[in-house]
Amino acid sequence: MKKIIATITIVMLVVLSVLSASAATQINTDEQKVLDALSGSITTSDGSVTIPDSYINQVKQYLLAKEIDATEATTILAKINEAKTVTKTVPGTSFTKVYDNMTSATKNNVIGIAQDAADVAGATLTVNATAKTVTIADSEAGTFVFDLNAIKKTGVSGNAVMAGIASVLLLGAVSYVIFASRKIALGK
Amino acid sequence: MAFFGLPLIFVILAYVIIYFIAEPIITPVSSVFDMITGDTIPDFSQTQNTNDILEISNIADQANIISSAEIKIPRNGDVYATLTIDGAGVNTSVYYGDDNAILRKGVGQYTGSMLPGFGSTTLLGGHVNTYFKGLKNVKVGDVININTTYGAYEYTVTNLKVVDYQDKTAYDLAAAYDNLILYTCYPFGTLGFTAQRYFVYAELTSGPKVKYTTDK
Repeated sequence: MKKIIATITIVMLVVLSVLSASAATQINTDEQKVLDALSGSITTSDGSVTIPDSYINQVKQYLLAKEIDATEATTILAKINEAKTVTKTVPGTSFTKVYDNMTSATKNNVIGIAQDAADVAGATLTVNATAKTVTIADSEAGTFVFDLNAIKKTGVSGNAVMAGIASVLLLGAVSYVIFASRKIALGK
Repeated sequence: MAFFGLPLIFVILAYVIIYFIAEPIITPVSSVFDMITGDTIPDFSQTQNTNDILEISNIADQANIISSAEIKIPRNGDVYATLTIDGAGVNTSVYYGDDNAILRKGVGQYTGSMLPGFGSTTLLGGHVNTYFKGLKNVKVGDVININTTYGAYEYTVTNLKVVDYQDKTAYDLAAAYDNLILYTCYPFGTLGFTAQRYFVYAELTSGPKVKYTTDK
């Protein structure tokens, strides 16, 4: 009987946690401070830049799916300031150029700071430097991919068409070669 | 049999192997073939579960303001709305996210843009030969309806423009008012990669505002 009650309790907790995770929240005052800090200018060695609006919007939507308290927000704000201090020594006239101008050590440092900030919120942050995307995986709020590429390919890919046609032609050519070689062999 | 059987078996085996490797490449080819040879209008109606999307008969009956705490923020890959443009033949599901897998199934929202009702720009992209095939028929003044899981929104088209896909001035993701931008590849009949996009701009005329901050 005890085992049955325990099992039912666990199932209910799992269901409730899933349900609560899918509901949205509002952005509270502490979360707004985080957004304000991210929206502000970032000083570089030759001027200042701002974080792209798309990233800010994606952080907003992450914070709508996730609740951060005052203590977590304070730590995250400290991490944001730490990252901003690092970028003061890096030249760049845009956010992406600042990142491109960083040395490997500086990039790793900034990524490490960002990962620490995500960790405070209970999430895991990974950076794909090739695709220029940042992924935040949060067991509560879900997975958010921060992508700077706003406009996607919305036609039929020419490369795909050519590759497909090439595949069909190759099949036909190889089949013909086999057919012809068999015919010649039999003809001998 | 030797002349026919062996090549046929080889073709079949090779096709099966190449199919599993090249399926992502073969799919658009077959779509193009269907587009060229088909003599019936393809059916792009959605089979996904859209039960959560609200059916609102009178858009004016909705509350003017709703709290974000009352709604479910979609996750990447979720269908959260339907989009229709009467007269242009556009009727499609709207997904949150816009990766290749999503764009094969419907119209996708760029996650760096805000959801309808959140007071900023909603940016939606769709393939020119499928879900946004009718975009070329849209005119200034046309009405766009987006029925979401939390409210029904109506937009009026204000502008149409062809822009280079890398032109970031084509959209403002920090806009402080609700607006909708739809885009697809341009020119419409072109196969392969195109550097231009056809943009349809619309402003919100009706729909609940979502209050998502605790500030008064």
